[in-house]
Amino acid sequence: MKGFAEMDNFTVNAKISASSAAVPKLHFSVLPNAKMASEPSLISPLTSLKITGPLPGGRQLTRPLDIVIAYDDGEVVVSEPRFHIHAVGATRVEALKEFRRILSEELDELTADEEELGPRLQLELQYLRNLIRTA
Amino acid sequence: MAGLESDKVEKMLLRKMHATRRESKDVHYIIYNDQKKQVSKTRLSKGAKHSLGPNRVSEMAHQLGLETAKQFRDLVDCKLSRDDALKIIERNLPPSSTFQDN
Repeated sequence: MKGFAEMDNFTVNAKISASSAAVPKLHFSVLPNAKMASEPSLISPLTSLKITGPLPGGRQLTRPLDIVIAYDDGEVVVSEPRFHIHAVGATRVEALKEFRRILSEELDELTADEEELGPRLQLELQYLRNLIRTA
Repeated sequence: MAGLESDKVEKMLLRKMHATRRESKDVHYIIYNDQKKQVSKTRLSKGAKHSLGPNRVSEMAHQLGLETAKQFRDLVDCKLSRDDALKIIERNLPPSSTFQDN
């Protein structure tokens, strides 16, 4: 699939049977996300992604994390599939930013409450400690 | 499947599941069992009543440890009791052996 910055370029001879040396040509470009009347959409919304890299507070993910992206009416929902830690935003970028914030916050909150966690949240804390490294 | 209104979800979490409410950038709801252990938690955005779409409802249901979004709806609609919900949440643990994988 072509990237967003790439365009398909076409050159068309306006006069196919011209005998003249200087044949006029038409040039036009089609952006890859432009919709043609008979063409189905080439770009489907993303439904999964691996994220890596920094989290707020100078933290890092220790490994690529598979996340799921879903679309509600006017809202993007980003989640990880193990404990369903999730975030929402008006756009995918906003939801992903919120997701990174919430992942980092969850680690802080579970750590602060460690003494009173039941088995499920103890497992979630262990999962986040494996997933997040403080720089 | 239709979504849910945030005020009804909050009412269910606070009144029915006796969740503790904490505010930060979001509002956190922490559910305790009768032994005063935190069994699960979820979040709602701060602010006025808003609609929660079906994908978000499903994520909240699974984050709480319920098995299906329907169980979450049943809690909101008073078709599922607190005790039964706690039983589901406490038996529905993710497998710990897979934490290193992705």
